[in-house]
Amino acid sequence: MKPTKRIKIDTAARRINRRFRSIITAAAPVLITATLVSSLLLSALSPTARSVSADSKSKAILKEDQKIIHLLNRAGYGPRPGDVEKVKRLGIDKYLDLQLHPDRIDDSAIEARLSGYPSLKMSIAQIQEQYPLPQLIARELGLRQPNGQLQPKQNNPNAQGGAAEDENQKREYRQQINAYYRSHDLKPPQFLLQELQGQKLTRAIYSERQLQEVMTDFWFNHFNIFWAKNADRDLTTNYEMNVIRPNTMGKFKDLLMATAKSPAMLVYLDNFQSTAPDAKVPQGPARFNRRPGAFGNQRPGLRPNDPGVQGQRMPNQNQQQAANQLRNRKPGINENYAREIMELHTLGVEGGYTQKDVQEVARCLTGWTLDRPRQGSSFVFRPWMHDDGEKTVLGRKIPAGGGIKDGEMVIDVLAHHPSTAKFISTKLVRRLVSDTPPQSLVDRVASVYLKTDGDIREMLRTIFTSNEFNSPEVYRAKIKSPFELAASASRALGADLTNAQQTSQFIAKMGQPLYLYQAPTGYPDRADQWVNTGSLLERLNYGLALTTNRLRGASVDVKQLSLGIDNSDRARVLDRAIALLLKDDVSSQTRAVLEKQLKEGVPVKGELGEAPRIPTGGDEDAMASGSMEALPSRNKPVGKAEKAANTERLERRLGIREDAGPQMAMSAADIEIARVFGLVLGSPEFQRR
Amino acid sequence: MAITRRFFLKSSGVAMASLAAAPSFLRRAALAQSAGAVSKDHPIIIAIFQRGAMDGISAVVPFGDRAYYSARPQIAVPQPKSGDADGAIDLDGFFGLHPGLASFKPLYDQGQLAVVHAVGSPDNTRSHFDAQDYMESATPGNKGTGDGWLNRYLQAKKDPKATPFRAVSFTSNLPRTLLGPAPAIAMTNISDFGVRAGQGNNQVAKGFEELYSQGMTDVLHGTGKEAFEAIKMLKKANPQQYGAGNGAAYPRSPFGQALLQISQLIKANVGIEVAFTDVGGWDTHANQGSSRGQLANRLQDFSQGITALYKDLGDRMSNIVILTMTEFGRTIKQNGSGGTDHGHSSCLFALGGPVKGGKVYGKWPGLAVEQLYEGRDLALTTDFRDVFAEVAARHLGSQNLNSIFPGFTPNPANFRGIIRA
Repeated sequence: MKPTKRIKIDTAARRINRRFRSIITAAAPVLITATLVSSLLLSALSPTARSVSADSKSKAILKEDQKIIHLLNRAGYGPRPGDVEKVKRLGIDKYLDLQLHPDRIDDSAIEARLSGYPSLKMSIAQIQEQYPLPQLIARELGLRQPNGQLQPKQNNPNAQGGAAEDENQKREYRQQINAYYRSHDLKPPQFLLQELQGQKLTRAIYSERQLQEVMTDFWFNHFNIFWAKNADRDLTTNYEMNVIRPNTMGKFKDLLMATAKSPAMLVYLDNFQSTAPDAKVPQGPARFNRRPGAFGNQRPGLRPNDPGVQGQRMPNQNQQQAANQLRNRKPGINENYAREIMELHTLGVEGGYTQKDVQEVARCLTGWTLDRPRQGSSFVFRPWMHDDGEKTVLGRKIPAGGGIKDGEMVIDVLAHHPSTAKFISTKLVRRLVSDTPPQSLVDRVASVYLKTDGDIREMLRTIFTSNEFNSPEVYRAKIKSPFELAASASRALGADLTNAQQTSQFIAKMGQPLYLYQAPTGYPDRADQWVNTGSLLERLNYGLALTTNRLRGASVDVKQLSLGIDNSDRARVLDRAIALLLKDDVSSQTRAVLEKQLKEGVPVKGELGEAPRIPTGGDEDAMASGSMEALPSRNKPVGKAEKAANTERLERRLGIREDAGPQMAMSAADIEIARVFGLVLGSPEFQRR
Repeated sequence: MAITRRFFLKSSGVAMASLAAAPSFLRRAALAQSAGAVSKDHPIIIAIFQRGAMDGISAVVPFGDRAYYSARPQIAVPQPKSGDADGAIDLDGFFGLHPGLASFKPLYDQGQLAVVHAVGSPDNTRSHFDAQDYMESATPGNKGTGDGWLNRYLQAKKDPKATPFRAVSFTSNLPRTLLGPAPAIAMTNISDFGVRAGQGNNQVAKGFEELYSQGMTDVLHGTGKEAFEAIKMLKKANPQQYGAGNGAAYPRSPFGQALLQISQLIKANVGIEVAFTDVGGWDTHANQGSSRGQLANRLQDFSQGITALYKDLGDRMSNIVILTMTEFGRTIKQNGSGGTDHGHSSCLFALGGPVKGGKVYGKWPGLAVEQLYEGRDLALTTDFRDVFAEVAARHLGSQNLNSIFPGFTPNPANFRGIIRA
């Protein structure tokens, strides 16, 4: 039983009725009084509680336009102006078929927008070279990291950081490192994260291959990894570009195998270290290029074991100790990946495996490790690390001496297991259809999985063409994730995104830091994950910042959007905003509130309100410290200096200036229009897809 | 269950309005207007979840158990030895604190900090996801539970004077512990909690407020209403005027900053009864280190944050309990990567005036192979629900333990006695 937060009024009434009856007939102790129950019924059935759109929903199937909007919202990141008409001309079936074959869609226009993200096309080795950690540079320069908050004070936990002198040392350290980055045309690893976030947003907004983007997001989250875990900073780019993206609509088994052999997953779930307990470490130079690399992805002392976002560092003596440990280490099994591949990637936690199976799968996967972790990092099977005994996995014997075939057999067994078919189908339907996946549809999708050898494309086709998908029950039934909100808002407004950094920061504040979900579960795909007071407020603030051009790197032309409607004709501005953003499908209450706002004015003159601010930090600090709170921007808006200065003055006067300036000057009148759009973006209707 | 109780109860508020009775959220809002003088006397719980499964026998080291050292040749914390900063800090001749927890020692000595060891969930899952789910819902083995145990505590103990800040979580999303019909707030930063529209802000904020105060009955509208009540109250109380007091030094980590803000809200008397935050990084499969290293750094951030909170709150701690929890412990033997894998029982900490501290509670099951759970993990001698229930009953004054812990009958005879009578 999954809690559902979203109940459409008409169906709610029926369900309440059902519940009401069951409460009465069960005559069991109830949580609430009968008075409440009956009053709820009254309220739910009364006309005032009905939304306008409920009228259309009460019909059994969606109208043609709604069908198109629905598909654009679920198989993509929402309609841009004109998209609905385009799909109508093409035909909805043809559109879906194209989306299911992304390579048949010309997407060349996206390349120009991605040109600012050079790491996307780099090999792991190039990335390691071009984006070194500050600590590596410090070592190159012979610098010692200054003392301060970052160093533990084991012996005197109450010691205060040594004030001014410390600060000076730290500043000098940072300056030297930053100078080195600049003079050698290198960048710190946080840029890799920025580029990943930037390409994800850019593609979601501008790519014609919308379903490909949705599925990339889905599968990355399904096979989640955490960017900030050790070497995954260098490896996540390769993981998305070469492991996830090429396999989003093929056979599930290929995707599973690709993730199993990916350096990023081997690091994230520790399998690269998993070794038969009785393994004999071979002697001689032929083994590896670097000694501790046998078990470690890192050269201890060079690449601190540093989760980054938590702001901790491994101090030098600890690195030394870790190095010693590596040398003295007794080999052994690490179960982490073995467990998660069954629980989270294939069978599901109730898929019918035991702790014994976890241990046996872990034995099968011993020796699946990394070659040359610091010089390109690729998958390798090391026979000497492998447990070559006989194993039994899910009741199947895996004979002794299988080597790398053991793990491949495990993956084959898991990929063809009925529990996997059911688990993957349920997740797909939850993502694409409803938080409470209709069982009938899940069953059909699972049978397609089993019949087609796990063909993802066919599963998707089954979902999108099903009655359950095209049912009014599920129209606008999903709450957008913060990422979906930002992408769909940018699309609906035709925003020009030239730098995604501040938008990414907003998405994080709304509750979804991209590539930074620490747990292997990925983000839960349900409304209750996204809707709470704090994140809802950030959603409202995001909409306002976007429409009033206070988001650095994103610009919206409200004047053009409102088609030159005079802002004195406010009713028409509102109509235009509702048409563009909500496709005219709006509750009478929402419309009434918006109209009232307009009538009372959304003033831009008069006394100053609270000054808004999007926190950003100093670039210098961020670069050298590896802090992820404040990342430097490279694409500061390059406007004509004079115009920018005027704009800034205007904003300061109006009290709307965020830390960074807008891309274009906005008149007070434009700001009024922009706020109307901002309000509509913040409406309950726009939070849904 | 097609309708959650959250939805159901929220709807009931609207329904009552249509019958001309004042809905509860409006009453709360009305109270919020006159806020600023919320009672200081009610008990408070600050719950801290260590996500990832803390290695309990590294945190509170059973140095008196020889099997500890044979199972962990590289990562064991050495026995206490005077002058050795890397040794465990002796508590009672058998257990010692990890050196990273050094700042806990004075609190333990003053009787303000208690440890419960070999505590955890009777369920044998070793999945983070399931085990956290079970601990936060307090229904091990049952995934169908829709709400969290702290939310059920709030539901059971009706408070007509409750403010929107009765339950606050410093996390970007509401944790499972607090999900449910009783309202709760999630935030990461007090200063960002509001509408930021610049000049004319109030007008825009009012527009949003109205958009979310319509007669619709769904989670978005309910959440929106809560949010705007809370904004008003926060503005009035201005918690950020309170800096860290009594020389408390919070770590600069996100965890330290979350605790600082919890303290600010408590000092501002906005009506907090339940505060929550979490801290990750405990899933030490590889290179966890012994006295120093990865785990040591985590423990240090953890204990220094809590100690700072304790100092900062000063006299207020007389009615506050800080309770830590983690989903399970880790394997007794170190694994092949200098770390530990998923295990069973761990330990937890309780601090505050109401806590009968200075003691390691619980029966020690022993670490010899035949004493281990499933031959590999620390066995369970205290069900975590007995600890939670004791805090709920004896500290928070809850009368409804059965509704907070469905399917479990908390028996005071099983309480460990960590709360003063």
